Amino acid sequence: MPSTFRERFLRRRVWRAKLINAVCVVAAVFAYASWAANAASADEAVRAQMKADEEAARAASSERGPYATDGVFTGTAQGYGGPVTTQVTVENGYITAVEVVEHSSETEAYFSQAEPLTETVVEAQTTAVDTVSGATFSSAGILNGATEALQQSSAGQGGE
Amino acid sequence: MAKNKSLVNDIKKDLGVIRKPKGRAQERRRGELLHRGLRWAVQIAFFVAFPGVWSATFSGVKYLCQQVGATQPLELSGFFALLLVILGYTCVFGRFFCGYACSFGFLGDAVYALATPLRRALGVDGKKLPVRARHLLHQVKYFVLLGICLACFAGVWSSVSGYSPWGAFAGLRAGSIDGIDAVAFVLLAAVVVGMTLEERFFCQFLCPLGALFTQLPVLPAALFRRDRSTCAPRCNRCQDRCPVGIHPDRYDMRSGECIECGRCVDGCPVANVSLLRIEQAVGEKAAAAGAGAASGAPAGAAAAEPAAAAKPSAPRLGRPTEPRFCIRGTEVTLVLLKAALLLVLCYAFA
Repeated sequence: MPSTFRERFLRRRVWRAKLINAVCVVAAVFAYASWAANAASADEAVRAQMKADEEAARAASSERGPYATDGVFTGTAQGYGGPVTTQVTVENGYITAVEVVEHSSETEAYFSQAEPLTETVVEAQTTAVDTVSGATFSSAGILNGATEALQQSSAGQGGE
Repeated sequence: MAKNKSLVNDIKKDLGVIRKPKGRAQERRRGELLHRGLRWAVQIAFFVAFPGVWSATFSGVKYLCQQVGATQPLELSGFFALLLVILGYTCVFGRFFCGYACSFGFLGDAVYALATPLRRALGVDGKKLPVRARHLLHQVKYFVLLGICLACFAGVWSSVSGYSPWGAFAGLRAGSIDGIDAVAFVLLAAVVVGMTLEERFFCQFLCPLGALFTQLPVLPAALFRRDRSTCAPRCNRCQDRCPVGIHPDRYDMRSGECIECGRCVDGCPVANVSLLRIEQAVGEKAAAAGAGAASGAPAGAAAAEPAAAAKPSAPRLGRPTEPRFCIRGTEVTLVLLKAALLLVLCYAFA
């Protein structure tokens, strides 16, 4: 195949255009990522302060949170591969900790995407939060389990 | 009944070709059948071992859009890392993932293969949409990708994802279908109907991840190519066999659609499609042509006309000279190496 430099240059123009596009997209994503990382670390300090303030306010006031009974409650719900058991700690009527105690039948890659939901629930003080897209089933397992646990609290069944 | 009988006969004939190929056409057919068998084996292995890679990889795209939309930081973990790894692999090796490892692609191939009796009964087997219509429909997937990205960016994806047909597919696989909207099952059924009638229906027209892959700068050396100067006139078998309806031209605008299945390679009657082909130098080519002429004609005639034999003329159509070195791209070792590398990446990142 006889080819001059000019022919080879022209032949690769589709590939080159795609390469330039891809480099631009990667550069944009990289720029965003570094900007967002900085912004997030600044946010983190503010959020920690707010959390500390909120906890102090809760401790100072005599009012109870929205959940009736204190204690440690567990609930089980269907995840992707099988049952997921979630343990919720309620203190003074507030959710203070959420922990998944049983997820042996979940696929680890998906489950690890969904697990940060436990922190989201503590922050939001409710299980009505968005599921993690791509890990919808594992998310549902955690959230439905937590909901079941919180129903026990609301129903006044004392936890351990 | 007669239609099914002809299918059985076809299978019997193919088995005969595998056992004892007669002639060059049957040898070619044998290679094609063996390579297709290998592809089925790799596809089934990936379907069993990593059925979720396609969905997880695309979740990386959704994650990116969601995080940017909500101005949250990007973490190089989970789905996003997998996305980058699969995109990188595809840039180097082409869309081998689509052709050999994707669970939804395998579903499409399996549905299409199992529906062969149905298509024969309807009299539409082997009939495809006109090429121009298919090329037009190829563009639909970009709108699917754009729609999902915008929904994620705007933060409304979680309220529409219940209608997602692959959510329904994952639900069926997991055996838990509560919380999935009926619309999702209707869409999935529509996709499956498409899959029975058109090969790789979803991959060609609808796959949002495929839309992304198509725009990747895949190394030209990873894509098939043909030397058109030695093609038989009006042959077009490569495109007729191609599941996505393109020619094996690596510099072409549509080369991004190629899913590396290698059917163009196996189907070419003159072995003209390859990944890498180094021709013999002009002198060697002439010698080979001379030897060919000598064996075909009386020895005296060839000796009497050495000048004609030595002339570096174009090889005859349909009978190109043997290349000095050739990687066709469907070699079992090459396919297994690519599959092994992808398997390691999936194991490490999914």
